[in-house]
Amino acid sequence: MDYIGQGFAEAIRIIFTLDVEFLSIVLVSLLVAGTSTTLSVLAGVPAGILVAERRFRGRRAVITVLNTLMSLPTVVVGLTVYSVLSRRGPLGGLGLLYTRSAMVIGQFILAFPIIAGLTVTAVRSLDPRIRQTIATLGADARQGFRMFIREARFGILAAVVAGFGRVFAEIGVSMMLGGNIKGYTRNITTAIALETSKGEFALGIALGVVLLAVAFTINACAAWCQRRAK
Amino acid sequence: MNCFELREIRCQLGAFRLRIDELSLEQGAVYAVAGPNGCGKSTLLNLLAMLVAPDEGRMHFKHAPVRHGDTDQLLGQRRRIGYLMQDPYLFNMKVRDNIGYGLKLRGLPAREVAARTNAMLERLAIAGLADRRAHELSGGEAQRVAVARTLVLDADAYLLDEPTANVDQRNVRVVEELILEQSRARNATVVFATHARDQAYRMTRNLISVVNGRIRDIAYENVFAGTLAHAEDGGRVVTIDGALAIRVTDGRDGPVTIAVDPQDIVLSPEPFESSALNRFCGAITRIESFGETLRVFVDVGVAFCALITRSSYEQLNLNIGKEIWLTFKATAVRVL
Repeated sequence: MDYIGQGFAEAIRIIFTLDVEFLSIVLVSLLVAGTSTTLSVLAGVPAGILVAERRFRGRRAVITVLNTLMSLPTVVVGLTVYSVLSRRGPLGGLGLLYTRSAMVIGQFILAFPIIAGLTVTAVRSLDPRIRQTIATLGADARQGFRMFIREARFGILAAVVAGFGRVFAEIGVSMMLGGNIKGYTRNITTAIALETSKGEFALGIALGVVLLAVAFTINACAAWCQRRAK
Repeated sequence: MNCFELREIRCQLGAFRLRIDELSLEQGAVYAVAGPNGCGKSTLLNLLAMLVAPDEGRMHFKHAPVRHGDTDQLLGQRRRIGYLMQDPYLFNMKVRDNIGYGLKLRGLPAREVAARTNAMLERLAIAGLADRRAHELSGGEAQRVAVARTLVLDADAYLLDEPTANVDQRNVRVVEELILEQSRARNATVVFATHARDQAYRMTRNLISVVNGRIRDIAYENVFAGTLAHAEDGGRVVTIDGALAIRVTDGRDGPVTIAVDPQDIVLSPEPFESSALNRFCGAITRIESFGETLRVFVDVGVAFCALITRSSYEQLNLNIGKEIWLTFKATAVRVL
């Protein structure tokens, strides 16, 4: 049982001395998850607003598909993107497999439905009086749209936070598409898996603490957004 | 000059249908829209606010036609109107930002927006709420903020759907005074919906009655059905219930509906000597007081309502059951 206690003690040292390997792993996680979330926001928020606002054929089907994809298993995404990016795959020539770009692509597929789907919910749950109120106060189309989005801002922010939380903590995509290459594609989750399998708990625990701290922060942000959205 | 002119309007909203054959609302005048819930008051205001397009008919705002296809012109016209919706929505922002939002949309400089917002906050005694968020307000406070947000706008017309709903009695008067004050200051037409008759009488004598989606008439009191015919002396007379004969000047024959403006009826303890042709005696059945004016209901076979000032009420020493004379001219009778 001693190894657990020792592991914790060592983990605290790693965190407070800002161990270089530890920092590089955390940075990879932040960079990759940050990039994939940003891209998902750029695509998912406008898509969500469009789906919520426009009436078109198959709209309900689109919403159902988005909701289903929110719980897409990470290994299925890993497998699919792997088959496309591997040497024999249609995009094999790009040489993207086992790069950060491959991880971003996989994580984008995970985060996009969450951000788009929750944006749809956020916009659709807005008070129906908003639109009329904006019109009665004399807003033109552009001013009105800006105010409309402003009213949905906390709901949309909650969607963004949920998307980031999903990709920051996932392992399937990172492992299968990133390859856990030290100093390049090794992020928090793949490093914890590796360290644990090696029987080295200290770094794993230190990284686990960071993961939990981020998860806690994300939850706090989401709760704040929900309160403010009311 | 007319602020709004509506002709042959037909407006279908779901199962509800609003029909207005003719309605002209004068610039600078105050109108109360009265009627039971669900009769079409809000629909009428939505129509005037250009939020809904009529299926048929023409509407003019300050002599310019309202064309729902022309977005730019419509926006310009809408910006001359301040509209307070029933159960208004406040944006998820500070109270002062809510009030200033309409001014900001119109491109006013930030300093002027702040100054006018502050003045309005002071006027409605809600300055203490300026930095609160909308969702922290009580129903009455939120309503006053919404009123401020509407009345702060420079408008040619204010359309107010139940402006004092949820507002406590003490502040109701403040809101009413402010509405009248803004109307006078800007020569703006006010159209407000209310189901409180006393409020309607306090603020205006122009009543628009909406019943089942139809505008009945602007002066809708003392409305009676009768038969119009020639009298023996050659004059024109409407007989109500086969008994009461009211002199009129209209030329039609047959069944008619007439209305007499309560302001045009003179009350006197003895028959009032004048050229007025209509003179009836009856007992007072009810007296309602609205500030400086009182409504006196007199049963002369049918129940008439007359409007008098408080000082003449005191002079006449009126009370329930007292016999009193009603006098009004033939020209005061409107044949609808």
